[in-house]
Amino acid sequence: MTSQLNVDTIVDKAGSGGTNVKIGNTSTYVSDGGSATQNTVQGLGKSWCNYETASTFVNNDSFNVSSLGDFGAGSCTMNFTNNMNNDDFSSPAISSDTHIFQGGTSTSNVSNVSRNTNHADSDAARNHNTVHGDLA
Amino acid sequence: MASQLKVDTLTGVTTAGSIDVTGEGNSTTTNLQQGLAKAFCRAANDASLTNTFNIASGTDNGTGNYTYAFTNNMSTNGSSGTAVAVTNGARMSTYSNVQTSQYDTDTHNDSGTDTDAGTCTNTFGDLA
Repeated sequence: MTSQLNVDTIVDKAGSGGTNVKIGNTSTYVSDGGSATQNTVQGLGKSWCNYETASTFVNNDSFNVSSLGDFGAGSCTMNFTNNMNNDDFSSPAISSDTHIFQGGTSTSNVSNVSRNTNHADSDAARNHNTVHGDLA
Repeated sequence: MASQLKVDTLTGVTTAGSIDVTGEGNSTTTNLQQGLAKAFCRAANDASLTNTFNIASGTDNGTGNYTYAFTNNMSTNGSSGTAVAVTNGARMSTYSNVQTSQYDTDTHNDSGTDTDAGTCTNTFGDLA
């Protein structure tokens, strides 16, 4: 039997926040326009990262990133805390340098390479990456 | 004591498609539906679908140009998306020609020439 919960706000039992709320991976939500339902967990970003490779190599802020690996000019590997289910996840990125491309993925990480206006591998002040797909 | 609520569908009371969740900092609320990616897509250099959510099909329109159609459409042409080329070399990818039912990606090389490449994209905005 399916069930439906009508609610305006979701918080944890203590009522102080949402950090302890767990949502099952088959749950769905009603769309913004009200005419469709989609899987809630599929829509969640599984990882994001704001990192710098220029003057310093640093993780400015991130979610589900345990460490960064520096493998040369413009190159950065983001290692996940919780791994993905496969290496076919979708992981768009953007860089403050001219452009960036995805160098590779595995269940435990994603690698990007940023390039300058001369299209040479080059460190950048800001890079942004998101990961969408299935967690293991 | 921890509690567990088992439910299949989350629906707003005031508005069906609007549920607030408390932010990580505990000082604000943010809209659950607005914060969810409405689609993501990893596709090969011929638009064949590798791993997707809410993507019904991919079409290869010619060198470096692809169209991806949604399963559940967006409510406006103003959805926001990002794209990256998946390749071991210099390729750039754009997210363009956004419509309620589909969007395009264009990939090109360092010389600005359209070039086939795999792509990753995501889409944020309002579902219909």
